[in-house]
Amino acid sequence: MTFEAPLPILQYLRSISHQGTCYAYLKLDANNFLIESGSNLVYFDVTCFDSEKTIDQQVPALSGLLPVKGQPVVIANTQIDSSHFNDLHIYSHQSNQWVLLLDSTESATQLQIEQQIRLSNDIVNEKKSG
Amino acid sequence: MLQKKVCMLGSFAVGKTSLVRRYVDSIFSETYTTTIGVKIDKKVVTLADTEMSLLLWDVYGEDSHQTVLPAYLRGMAAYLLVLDPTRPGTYKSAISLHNLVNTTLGPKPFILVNNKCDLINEWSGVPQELQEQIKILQDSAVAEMNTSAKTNTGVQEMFVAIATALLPVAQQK
Repeated sequence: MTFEAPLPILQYLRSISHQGTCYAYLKLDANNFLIESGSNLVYFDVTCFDSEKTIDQQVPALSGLLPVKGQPVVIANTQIDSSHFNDLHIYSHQSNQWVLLLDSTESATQLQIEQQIRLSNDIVNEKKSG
Repeated sequence: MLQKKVCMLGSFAVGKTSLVRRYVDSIFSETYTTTIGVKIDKKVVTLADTEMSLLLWDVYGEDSHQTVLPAYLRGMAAYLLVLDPTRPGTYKSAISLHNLVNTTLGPKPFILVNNKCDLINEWSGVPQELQEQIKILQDSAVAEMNTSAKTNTGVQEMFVAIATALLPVAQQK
């Protein structure tokens, strides 16, 4: 099945050089209610929506983050389950808000390996230096 | 139901993730696994006559290469400022993270958490040059608590205490 994302999503993806990355998006009104959603929502486990509730009541990771006005909010490497890392981008466009989930599992896993080695060494060095 | 975002903040390897795992999943691992970004968990805590959904943001620890970015604090209602008193360097991180919160969001309720109390005989004490600033932290905290994720000491009490601090004043007892 082919899929064409809305223009604001494509423009934003281009601006952050994430073409080819697995993603999903949510379009919200100014009161945080869902207007539209698309792409790979199943991958990010955001599939059941109740139109009577705001999105931050349904997607815990968004609680406290909305609404976004002005500069985009970017939370890198969020982990909701143990198998995926996502970069979370939230920004406003005209009177709407867009939430974009980008898979960052590959880069985060590599970063975790490197950081694990570095910090394990730091702990050893701390103990040596008393 | 009330829903509140609570961040775990502190230096790397002080036990933030272990405290969350102990509270949410009732497990503890001796193996240190570094946190990348943020791990988000949800836990409903039952207080006297109400329930609160805590969204626990286990944020990566500060180290010599990275500080916590203000975006991770957005929407935070309260935080747990975690120390490892066996490592003097973790006091300095706690002070800088407390200052980051105040600069970014203004004052928020927090608990100063002395983790790894199973190793209390190895606690180093507050470094001389930081004593004044740590005293300010202690005075402005909702509470200072000793915990051990390993022995499950004070963990539930700590999360209940921060949830209680987030109740409307009329419901706090």
